[in-house]
Amino acid sequence: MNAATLHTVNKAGTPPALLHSCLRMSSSGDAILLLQDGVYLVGSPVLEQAIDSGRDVFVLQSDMEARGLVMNPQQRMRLVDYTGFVELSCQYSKTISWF
Amino acid sequence: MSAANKTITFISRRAPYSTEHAKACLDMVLAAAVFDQQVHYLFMDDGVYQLLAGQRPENIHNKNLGAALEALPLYGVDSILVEAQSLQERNLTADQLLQTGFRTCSRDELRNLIKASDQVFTL
Repeated sequence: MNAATLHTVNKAGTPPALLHSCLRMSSSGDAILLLQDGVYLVGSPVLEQAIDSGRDVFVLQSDMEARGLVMNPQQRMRLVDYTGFVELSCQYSKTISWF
Repeated sequence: MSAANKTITFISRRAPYSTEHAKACLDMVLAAAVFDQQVHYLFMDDGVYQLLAGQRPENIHNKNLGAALEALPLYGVDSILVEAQSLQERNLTADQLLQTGFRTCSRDELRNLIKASDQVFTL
């Protein structure tokens, strides 16, 4: 099992305060999963910085599609379905929910 | 029967009184402490407002959360941490806060704390 942490983020916001809190408490090697209104963070500069600083970013596909958002091919995030969500939860040693 | 000893970090991120989050987090901290778990209680974001001294919530029909937080050492909760940046962003200084024996921490310290925890709850 991966010793790192999975962080779920379910809100966006301008400025994206919840994502900022998550990033302050997360470390390189951790993963961030955007779900619910957190999917609006796709494409935000803060999220790009998070990827640059060694976080893996995942997006829950059904929440993204529900809101009419599409992933730009240049974006370095990975789409996951609910099975992928469960796999991530198992793969990381703990999960922190930012809500 | 003894519960396996775990290190559990609780992150309280919301102001008191307007929602139940702050009170619920305190209840979880106390429950974990009663079961002899190693507990860290971290205040960040608007959660730092819970630590303001001189709270008088009687007129809004609430129990004084600050007074409850001051009793934490009696329940064996002695790792009470406050994120320095959350205080700065709200123009708060340590002398405006309760005397609960808390420690102000940098984000690097807190990241290490989270890494070393078995479970982390946010409320």
